[in-house]
Amino acid sequence: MSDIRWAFESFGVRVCIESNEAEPIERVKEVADYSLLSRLSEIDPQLAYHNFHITKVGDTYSSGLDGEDFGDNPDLGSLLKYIGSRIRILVAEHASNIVFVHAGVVSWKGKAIVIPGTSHSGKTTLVAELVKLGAVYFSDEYALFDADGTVHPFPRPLAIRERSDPSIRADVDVRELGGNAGTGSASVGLIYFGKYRKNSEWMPETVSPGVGIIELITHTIPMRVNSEFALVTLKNAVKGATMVKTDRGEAEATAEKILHFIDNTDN
Amino acid sequence: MNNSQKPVARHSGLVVQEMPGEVLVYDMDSNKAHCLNETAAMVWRSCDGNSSVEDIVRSFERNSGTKVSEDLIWLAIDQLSSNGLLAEKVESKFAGQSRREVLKKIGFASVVALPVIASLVAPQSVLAFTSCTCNPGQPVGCTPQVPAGCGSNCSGGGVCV
Repeated sequence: MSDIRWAFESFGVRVCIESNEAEPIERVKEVADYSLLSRLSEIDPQLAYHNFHITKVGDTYSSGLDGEDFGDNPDLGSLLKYIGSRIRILVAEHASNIVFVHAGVVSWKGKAIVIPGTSHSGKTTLVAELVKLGAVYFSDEYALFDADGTVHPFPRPLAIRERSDPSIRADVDVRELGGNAGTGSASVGLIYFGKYRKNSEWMPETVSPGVGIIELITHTIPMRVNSEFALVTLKNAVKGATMVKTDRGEAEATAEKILHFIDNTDN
Repeated sequence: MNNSQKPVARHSGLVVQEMPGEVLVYDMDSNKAHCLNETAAMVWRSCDGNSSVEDIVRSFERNSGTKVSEDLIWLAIDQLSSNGLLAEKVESKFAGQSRREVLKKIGFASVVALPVIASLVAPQSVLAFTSCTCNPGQPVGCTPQVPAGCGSNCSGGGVCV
């Protein structure tokens, strides 16, 4: 019987975690805090809409979220790592007043450069190179748009993959790259769509606002849950922004091209 | 469908945003997003259930100030229908012809932009946005969850490899 409960609210999303043991609850507090960059506050568990459970049965832990069963896992550490990522996605999907888009973001001369992309698309590597060139770090995972379309920082440590084994990632503080994390919001200057392709040339083609939004939708986390708000927010986000599409070669050279491009574009 | 029939634009279950020269439509039933260019959008707006194809041609010509062929309007209606943007599907006027043939025929004769509807489906699961983190409790749980680039098996360390 689960009888220990802890709940928090983050970006308007109310989440409860319950367990029949104290240890998972104590550790999940740290995990949630890390996953959401401390942007959470404790609430009364009765106010929560979403419920995780972690139940110790013998030597293993069974777990789940609302009606979904995560299965059994004997290793609490790896289970909590998974639950941390699920907490972040849950908040990103159901956040009120903020639209989470899967993207790397930096700001350059006060304007945001947004690089939408899936995992393994090279966002973090490119963001790291932009930071090394002086851009202000916002995020390597999410662009957080408010209703006006302004981007807010979500500066988690950069999850840099090892070249020899991309499944291994190390958290790198942006200061280790010689950069700084953004503290204020920025309007969007450039949205860049493209994938790494060996030996690709940087040949940007401008895309129309409508087509750009269609591309953004594929990376917009609450699109199915909160379609209308997400669409209006994206529309506001692209106002005044330049949107380009091109494959890219190595991140170091691409970062230079991006900054050169934005410096020579009026918007 | 013949020219006497009157296509009706679908409105239910859609989120619509007008933009300069484009219309964005998000279909909450299919979770598909569409971007209609000006030509497609003008035809869509004219599909009011009271106007025949001939009426739509006249309306288009009035609004654009340009002569257009009936085939161009039909091309737009075909695309609107196949993308689920009409209340009822219409039978394609160009059945049996390849899209390339149709575009070639209409494109050469047209001075206005051909109707274009760009469409993409929103990702099926929010889990598609995860990194390659997985739950070792479900060692094969990666397959439906992970984005391209992650493997399909969950390692003991909680990474899809």
